[in-house]
Amino acid sequence: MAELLGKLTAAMGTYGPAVLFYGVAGLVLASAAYAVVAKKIDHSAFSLMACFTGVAALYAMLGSDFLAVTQVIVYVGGIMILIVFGVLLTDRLPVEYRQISRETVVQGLAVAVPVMAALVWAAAGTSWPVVAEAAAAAAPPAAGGTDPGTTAAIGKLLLTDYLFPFEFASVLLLVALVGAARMARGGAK
Amino acid sequence: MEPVRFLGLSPLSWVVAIPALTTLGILFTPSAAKNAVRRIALAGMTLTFGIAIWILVQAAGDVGLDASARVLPRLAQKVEWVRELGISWNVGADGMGAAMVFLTSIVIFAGVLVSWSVEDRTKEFYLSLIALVTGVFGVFVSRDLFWFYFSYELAVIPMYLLIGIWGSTNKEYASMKLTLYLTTGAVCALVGLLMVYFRAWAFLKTPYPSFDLDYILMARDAGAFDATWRGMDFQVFAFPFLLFGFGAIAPMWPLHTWSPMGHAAAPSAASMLHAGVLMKLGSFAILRIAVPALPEGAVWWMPVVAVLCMFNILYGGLVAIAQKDMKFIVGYSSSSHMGYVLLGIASMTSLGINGAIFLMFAHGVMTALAFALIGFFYDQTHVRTIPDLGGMSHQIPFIGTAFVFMSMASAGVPGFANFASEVMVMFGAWQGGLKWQAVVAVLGIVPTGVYLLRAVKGAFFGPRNPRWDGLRDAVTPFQRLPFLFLISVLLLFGFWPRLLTDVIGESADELAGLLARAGGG
Amino acid sequence: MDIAGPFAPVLLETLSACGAGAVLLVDLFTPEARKSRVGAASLAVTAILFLAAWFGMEAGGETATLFGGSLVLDGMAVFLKRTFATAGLLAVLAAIRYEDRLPRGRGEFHFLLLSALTGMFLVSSVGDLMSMFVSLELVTLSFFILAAFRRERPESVEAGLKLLVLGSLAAAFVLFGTAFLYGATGDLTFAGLRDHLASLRGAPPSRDLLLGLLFVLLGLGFKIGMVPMQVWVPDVYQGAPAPVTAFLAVGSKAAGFALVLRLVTTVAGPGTKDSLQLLFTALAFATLFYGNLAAIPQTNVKRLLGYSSIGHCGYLLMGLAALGPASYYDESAAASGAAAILFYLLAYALTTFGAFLVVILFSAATGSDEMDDYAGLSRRSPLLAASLTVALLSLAGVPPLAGFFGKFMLMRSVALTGPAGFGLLVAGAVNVVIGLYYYLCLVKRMYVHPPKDASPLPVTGPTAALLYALTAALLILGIFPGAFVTLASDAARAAFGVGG
Repeated sequence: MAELLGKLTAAMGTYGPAVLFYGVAGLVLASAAYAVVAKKIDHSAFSLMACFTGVAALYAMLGSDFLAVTQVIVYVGGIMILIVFGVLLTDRLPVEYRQISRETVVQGLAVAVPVMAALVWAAAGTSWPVVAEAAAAAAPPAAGGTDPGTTAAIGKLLLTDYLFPFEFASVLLLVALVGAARMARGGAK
Repeated sequence: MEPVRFLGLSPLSWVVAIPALTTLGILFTPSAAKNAVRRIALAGMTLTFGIAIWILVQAAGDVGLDASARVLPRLAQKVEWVRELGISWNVGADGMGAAMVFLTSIVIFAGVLVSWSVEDRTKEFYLSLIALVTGVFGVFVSRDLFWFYFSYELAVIPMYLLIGIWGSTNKEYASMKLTLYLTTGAVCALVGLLMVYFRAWAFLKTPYPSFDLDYILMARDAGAFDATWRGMDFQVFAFPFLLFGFGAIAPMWPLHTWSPMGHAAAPSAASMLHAGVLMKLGSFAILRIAVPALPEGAVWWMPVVAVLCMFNILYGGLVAIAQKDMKFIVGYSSSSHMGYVLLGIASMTSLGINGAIFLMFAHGVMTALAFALIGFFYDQTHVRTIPDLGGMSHQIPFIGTAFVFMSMASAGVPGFANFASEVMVMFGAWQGGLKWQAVVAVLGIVPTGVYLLRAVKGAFFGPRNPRWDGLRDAVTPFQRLPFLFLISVLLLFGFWPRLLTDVIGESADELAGLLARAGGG
Repeated sequence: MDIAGPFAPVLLETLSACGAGAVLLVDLFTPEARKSRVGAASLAVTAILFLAAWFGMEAGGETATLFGGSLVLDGMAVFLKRTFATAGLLAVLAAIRYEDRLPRGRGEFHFLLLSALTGMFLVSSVGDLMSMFVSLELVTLSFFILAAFRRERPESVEAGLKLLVLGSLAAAFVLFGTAFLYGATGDLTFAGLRDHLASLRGAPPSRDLLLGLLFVLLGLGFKIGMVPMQVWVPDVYQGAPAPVTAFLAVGSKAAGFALVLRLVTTVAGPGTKDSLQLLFTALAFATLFYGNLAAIPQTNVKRLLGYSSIGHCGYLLMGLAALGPASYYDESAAASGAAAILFYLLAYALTTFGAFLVVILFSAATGSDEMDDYAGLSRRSPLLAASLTVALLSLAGVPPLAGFFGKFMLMRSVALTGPAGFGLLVAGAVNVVIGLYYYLCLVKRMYVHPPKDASPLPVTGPTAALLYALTAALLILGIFPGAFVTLASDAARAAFGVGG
């Protein structure tokens, strides 16, 4: 996949990757914003789907093929379907709930602006190493060889260095299962 | 030097341990067994009283002896408690400490006796009372800043319950005010103590810091406190934390407003302990910790104390004249008398400090007597305002007589311990150059006479008032015991002050010498 | 005694995870009429955990690691695990007194208590950021379901929802911060972070690392109820079932502080010390005053304890502010601050359960949590009133109780930073007085005010024994703290790398 991506970027010329990146990033931001302000909840849901897909594309561009595929399968394929089911099977929410008051906007800005400022401060003051180019310079892929991608490396790490959090995530899932059963069954006798 | 131990503990440790064990004993007694609770309290306090007398006798015997022949140093005990923090159970006594322990044991002994009539939640009452006195004893014997502060705080909180539950007149407000004032003072002092602790350690650079008073004094001699702190002289900066922190309980004007109100609201035994002992913790702490640790700070700040104590004397006395409630009269009078104690300290002379400590003792006994007497008739009359009372000597002659004795002691009539001590304070003030203050202090006796005579006349003399015909006097020896006991203590030390002044004298000499050196250097 | 050998780092985690599963199984095979067995099974599990933590682990042994550094067992972890085991045992004891009010699902309730406990055990010994996130979420997820457990009560659902939404926000902060830290150091382990900082040789770290740290700290600040992440605390405390509130108060706070301590001991160094001290001083100031001042007007006991727990977070932050400027005995002050935090957490756990146990018993008997209904409690039940008074006074920091010694240690550690810590020292002292005021307001109601309803509230024998035991524990910790201080101190010194 990385090989494919490499060919793609090579075909796009100097400014191609940048254009593609900002295009996708803009799509992600716009769809996320629409998911928040949309008047109908099904519009929100579909907009969210676009957002998730865009994020998957960003992962792919950064060379994380495994993460991109996982994002598509889990979020777009799994979670979005559940959300859409939830939307279809429940009653329409009352209209007032969807209205965004001035107060909410002010509060939101009060949190968002400092966080954004901190992010900009950190981003501006950090030297960003370009990993892909450095790696490509160090070991150019042999012509005709198979590209291992990141999947194998992640698999190895999960069963060696990060075995413990990986395994204990199952306990977390068990708790989530019990919790979901409890919440769904409710307090009814 | 063979240490004096009994079952592994020094008698000074027992002075704290016995009340603590008594508290535990009461805790495990069923609430219904009220008499058992009272007897446990009485037994414990009698035992403590015995030990306190023994300690005082040893202190008296030590006067003039060589250091090697003395008994008091052999009573000191030091047990490591928390190594990392430098806390040790460290008790020791000098003449001043012995006198204060003696005073406390007298007051609590009488306090337990006069509280015999408490019927409402008796167990909780005695629990709070004895827990409080455990703290007071702890302050008087401990030579470790941690235990000093621990005991000091321990003495404050039970007072809240004592006043809040068993008190009268505006008790909710009074108890909360008292607790918050005293706790504010305590934490203020804690800030000062921690600063001193830090400086001593930062200077001596030992592996662990230490709360040991001797360690602090060693650091002082080594010059640890001669540093600057944010551009100020450390001693001058840190001393007011201790002075006003401890001064709140002394009670130093203008931090005194909790005091008369607290006295008025508290039940008899609590008032006795409160005015008799608790207030002395403040001036004791200043003499035990603040002055020895920071003598140059003391020299800098003592002129301020000399001014503030004038407000105590005059303001307290004049306000007392305007009061109608008997307890408020005694309360304001206490604040006025404590002004004399502060004046004695501010004089920075051996005579003045000796007089101050002696007055702490005399006033403690006198005021305990006053509150015991007021409590005795208030339990029956349920009023204490002078216009409502009158002519009670017809019905309760014994209490009336005792009250006259108390008034004479309080007004400074020769023959009572108060006279001797107040004279010492005045002479000390004159000697220390506080001539105006000495004159004011003499004049301050005038309002004292006025309000006391008014109280005696208004409450006890005058025509027989039929409203009080049902009053019962203290007739049985058991009822009379606390009053007779306190009066005889006052007379004993009034006629023979040297019993105590000699004991206190060496502590006073030492403090005055320290202050003189600090002032000179 | 060390009973687990090389597996000591996962001993308690394994036991409690298996115990949680066992409780679910017991629930499955127990007929409806005998459901009290579920509580008994849960109690047995926590009792074993308690014994294993206090008597089956070496406190002063070598640092042991498992899973390539994902789990670390050092003195600090052992001390925290003991605190958690104690809190877990008390939580189950409290839950048993509460569970008659649960419509059904006792098995799930106890399962979730134990899974939260498992998460806490993990939290105390995680060695990398990934394990940290998983174990932290285990705690949060369990608590969110527990808070919403009584679905028939809107307050309970609201509590759960608030915990979920704001907890997710906090988790997002932690994750985002983790990503930044990974980006800056190329390593997810705490050891790697420490090495990276050491390689800077005192130079200030890069901005993305600082931002990552700040985000992780803010996310953890949610768990400990630190201003400005404290908004959830009062509502959740009030709405959640009382045993859950108690466990949340202790567990969430201690878990958060375990990680904050882990992080701070990792990153504190010559290059970061001053800015960390400044940050924690500011946070401690804000948290102390917010929590204690906002507690004053409260009329509901659980809300009061909620705000006061924010205040206690402020005190605990004082221990972190003791990092000190480099000119004084910095390592010792920092270590004494960490030791004070460890001791305070233990004292706070015992005290909080002492208070909440009475709240549970009182509301079981009267159905109310309002402070005014506590009027005259000393006449209706002297034992309940006395136990609550002791717990409140311990929270207020009055000798001879555990809370006093904890506060004393914290203030002492700030004092050891010299003039730089002076302002915070005064702030701490002022807040002691404010705290004492509102705790005494409740004591006043119980002892001074006449009861509205004079009917006595009986206390059964085992409950009375539990109350006595807690009171005794508070007294012992307050008067004879030496052994515990030594444990906490050694652990903290090892964590900061201070000799002697």
